[in-house]
Amino acid sequence: MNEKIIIVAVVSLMLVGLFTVLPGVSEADESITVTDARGETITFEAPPERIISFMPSNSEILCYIGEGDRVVGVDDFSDYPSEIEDLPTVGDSSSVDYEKITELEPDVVVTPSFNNHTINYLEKIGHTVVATNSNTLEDVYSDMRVLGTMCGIEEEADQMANDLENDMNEITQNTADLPREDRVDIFYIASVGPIYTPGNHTFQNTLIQNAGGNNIADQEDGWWMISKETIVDEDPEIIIATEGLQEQVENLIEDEVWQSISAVENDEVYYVNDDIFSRPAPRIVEAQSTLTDITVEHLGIEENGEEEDVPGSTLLILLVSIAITFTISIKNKRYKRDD
Amino acid sequence: MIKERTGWIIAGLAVLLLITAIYSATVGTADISLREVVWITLSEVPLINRWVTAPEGSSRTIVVLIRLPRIILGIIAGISLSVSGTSMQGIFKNPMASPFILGVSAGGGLGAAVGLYLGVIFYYLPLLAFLTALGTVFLVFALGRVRGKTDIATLLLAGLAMNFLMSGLTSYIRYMSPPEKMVQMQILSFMLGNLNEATWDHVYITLPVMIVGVALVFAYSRDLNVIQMGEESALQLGVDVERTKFVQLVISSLLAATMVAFTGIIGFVGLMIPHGARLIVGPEHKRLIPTAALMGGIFLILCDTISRIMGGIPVGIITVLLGSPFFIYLLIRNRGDTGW
Repeated sequence: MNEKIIIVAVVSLMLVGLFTVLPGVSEADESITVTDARGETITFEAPPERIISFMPSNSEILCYIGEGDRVVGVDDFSDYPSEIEDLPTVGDSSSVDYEKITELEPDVVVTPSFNNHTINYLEKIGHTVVATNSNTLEDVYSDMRVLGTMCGIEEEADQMANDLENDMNEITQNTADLPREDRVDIFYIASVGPIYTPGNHTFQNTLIQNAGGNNIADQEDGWWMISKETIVDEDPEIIIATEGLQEQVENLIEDEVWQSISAVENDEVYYVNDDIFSRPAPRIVEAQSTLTDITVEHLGIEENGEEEDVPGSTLLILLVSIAITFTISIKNKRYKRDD
Repeated sequence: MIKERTGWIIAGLAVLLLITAIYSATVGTADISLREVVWITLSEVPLINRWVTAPEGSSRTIVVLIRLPRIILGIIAGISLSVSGTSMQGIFKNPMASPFILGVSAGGGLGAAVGLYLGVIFYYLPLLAFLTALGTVFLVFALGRVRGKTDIATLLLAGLAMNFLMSGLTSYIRYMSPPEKMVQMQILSFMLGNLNEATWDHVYITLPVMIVGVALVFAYSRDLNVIQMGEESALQLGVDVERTKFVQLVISSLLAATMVAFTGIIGFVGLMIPHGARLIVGPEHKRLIPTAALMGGIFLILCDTISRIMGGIPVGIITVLLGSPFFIYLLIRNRGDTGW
């Protein structure tokens, strides 16, 4: 009996000792360990001071979590927010300027994992690479956490990712769980000639689903070429296209076949911002709310019942009356001065 | 007389190759002076680096790990493709023959397209391209064997047919690839040939293949010369025509397949450079092969330098755009006398 107690005591003491020593060791050096989208473990002695962001969404995420000042170079397409506008550019996925990258002497290059050849070569010439997923809606949150951890603000980034996720859920609270029959059929045009459309497992598909839509192209995975017949057959009620395609799409739907589609007939073709709707970055919030506004109007959903309407109009009346009294009082003052 | 002149031409071309290579090493996005380039390069050479030291830093990385392997791979590709083309034109006795005539490029292209579509990376991709390139050539060989002999006309047609088949399949894969993950761009980049992302590993693998291949083609110079006079007279002169044809086709295809695997399909070098060389030193293969080899190296580095100046567009676009007008000029100047 006594022996058992001693053994238990010794073992637990050893365990306690082990657990107190372990964190002590990792605290001693302030190194940061990141597990990136490839599953690779990358260790930094300190948060990287010089980051090259090789994807617009990564640039947006880095700035969103407040670490934009660490970014010293970006890819050709990174153009948001304005703080990165004047940074040196290092090419795009199809032609990478490796010399420029090397010249900028980055501590880390952040690039999507699908650029596997670029990643391989960068590591070959001695650069450190952290890969992001940069694909689905969920990737925005996970990429944000990975990049936050890398910059030494793990907890803050985690909080920001949670907040972003909450914001997204709030926008879609009335639409995300609509039953199949109450949803509106949506067709998303990603390119014209050939017509590519985002199918299942794309972030545009998730945006549509969350907004109470039904993506007519979700029978296939990824972006795919949809036929005119399928489009006519599915008869979408709303068509979403990017602003960059506006002219081409307007031209396209003048066609007799397209005129028979409900969305065209009822003038429900909407053009949305290319960047916001194609980058897995924090601005998905804007994309989601734009899309949800469109679907909510189509479906005639009233936001959170009727009482929501009343405060809205009261607020408006209040604002207008304040404005009126304000102008009147200013005018009165002026008259007084003139006097 | 001609022999003497050839010696000077070859020596001159060798010097020109060196100058082109050094010049090319000073061109790029990063501004690095000629002196710095030479110093950094010398400091990397064993023995010499006891006396020459250059500072560490990004310039060193750019010169040693980005520019030098790229330039050397360019030289290796230029030499391999030109010599392969010279041998093919000699065997086929046809000025339109090129290293890709037996389907090497189309086969390699299909392998690369499949690899890129499946997301295969690094050494598996060149390996796959190499295997499909050789596989295609062996199919063409099998189709071209008539009654135990390699029939040149059948071989040409078989090559043409396989080229169409493989290109068709490649186009299909390209068409099917989803646009959002750059696969289409990557396949296109391979089809146009690219020295981007060259590493020393590429050099270590392709250099021995080039040396052995070029040496073997050169060793058959006399047989290639004799075959030009017709297969019957070649037989009378004691040349084993069947064996020469077979060995030359295999070596040329190996050279071309290796280059396709590592640099993609760099067109026109293997077709045009042998013609250019023939115009300068004539059809005798002992002179033709080294001349074509050096000219190929110079031409490809020049094209790659231009491609880098133009923001990294695939070098294959430059070789074709620069090569064809020159080719047309040569044709006009030498109408009826193309050195054959």
